[in-house]
Amino acid sequence: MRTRTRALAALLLIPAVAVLVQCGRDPEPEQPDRSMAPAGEPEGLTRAAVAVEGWELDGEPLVFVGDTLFELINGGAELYHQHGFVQALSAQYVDGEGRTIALEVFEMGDAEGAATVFAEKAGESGEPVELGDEARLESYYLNLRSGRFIVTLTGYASDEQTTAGILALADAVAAELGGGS
Amino acid sequence: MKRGITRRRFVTTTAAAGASVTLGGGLLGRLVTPAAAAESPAAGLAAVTGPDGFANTLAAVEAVGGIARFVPEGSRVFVNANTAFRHPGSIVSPDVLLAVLDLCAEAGAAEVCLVKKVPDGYWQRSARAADHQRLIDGALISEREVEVVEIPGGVALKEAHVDRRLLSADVVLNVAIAKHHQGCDYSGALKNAMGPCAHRPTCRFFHVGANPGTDEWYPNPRHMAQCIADVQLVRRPDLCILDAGEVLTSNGPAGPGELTAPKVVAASTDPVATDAYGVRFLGLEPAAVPMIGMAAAHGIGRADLASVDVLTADVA
Repeated sequence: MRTRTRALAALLLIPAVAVLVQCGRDPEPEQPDRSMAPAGEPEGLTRAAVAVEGWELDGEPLVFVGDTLFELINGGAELYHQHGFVQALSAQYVDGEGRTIALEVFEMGDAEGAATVFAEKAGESGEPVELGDEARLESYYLNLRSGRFIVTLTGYASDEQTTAGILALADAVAAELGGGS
Repeated sequence: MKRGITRRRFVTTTAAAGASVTLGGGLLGRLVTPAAAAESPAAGLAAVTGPDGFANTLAAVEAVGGIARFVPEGSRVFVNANTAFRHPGSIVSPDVLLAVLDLCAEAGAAEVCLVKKVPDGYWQRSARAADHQRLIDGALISEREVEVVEIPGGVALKEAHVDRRLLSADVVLNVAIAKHHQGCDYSGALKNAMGPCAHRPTCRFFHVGANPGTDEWYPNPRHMAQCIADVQLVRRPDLCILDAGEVLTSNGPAGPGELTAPKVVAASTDPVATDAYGVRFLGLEPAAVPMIGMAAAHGIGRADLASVDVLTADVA
């Protein structure tokens, strides 16, 4: 086996870190603006990291654009890129008893691309839930599609409190996204 | 500092805990007394079942010869751990990875470098994180500088862009998780060799090969399997540790999806045998996962477990 070194930095086509976005929120937010920012603008997507009663954001939401999606879901990123991936948001919530729920929001170029990815991810399994355009609840996670957005909420347990938190967050996130197509 | 868990003590302890110890070739092995097992040479593959991934890891490594066999004092260790996802069953448990850090410290490694940073909140999922904070803080994270490596023996993959630290390390530990993968049905030690590869162009080539314009997720599974087999020729790991504590059985590699909890950790120097053993957690036979046979054809390991000295211990 022979090795050779090339311009190392130039080969790193992927930015080393994801775009870190601070979710600046007022203690008492005004009535949410349902019109999301245009596709691709991080401030539009970070607004999806809403808080609900009993569940607070743990740390700062992260936004992933372009190839930085590989840092979030590694090889799983191919599916999104092939169907018009724009950007993704990752956030984590905790409740007062240490339970955690992970939120991922994927913004696609259009609703058709989102529907294709949703079908691949969620299929026909799970319990249908009336949220967004389509949503399915599994034992410890929920997949939801609203317009060009795909939302996944994942609990690290499947107890009643975690499931209730997943549903409450899904409802709030879907309302914030508002379809956005 | 030597912890002092000898292979004999491992076997004796598991026996005292009501464990069954099986040693021998193939999946069935042969049941032997703990004393007989203790007198045997290091196993070709050890699989330890129990509720604690940390303890399972220590025991599995001990059973294949102990960490000092693989990590010389003062060595620089590259830990290729699959931590690039977030959902349950998709990444190596923090308890397993903490055990690896613990073992490296015990062996007196001069440097431990993780292939990638772990997700936010990862270590906090282990109750042992606070006790291991010094080791966590001391582990380096690779800068991901890459070198281009030619692979003359590769069938589909003729060169790869790989992490320079993989090539320069004294010791490479492959710390993988057994899980479903949409593109190759199963992901384990062999698939984890993609971890030190650059996403573009190498991993992209694995995924879509000669079909870059495709809208299929993984359009050519055999191409991907062959690339995974070929990349093994870059740098064979010194030790493979396979976490099958919690296994994602659908929607891999990222999940979330269905989960099972075999609560097993396996260890072996042979990445092919490791996966030939690991596919059972997905309900598969080794012959049904092409990358295993393709990697064996490169001569880097054994796909036939009947030719491997497999030791299993159940401490549940």
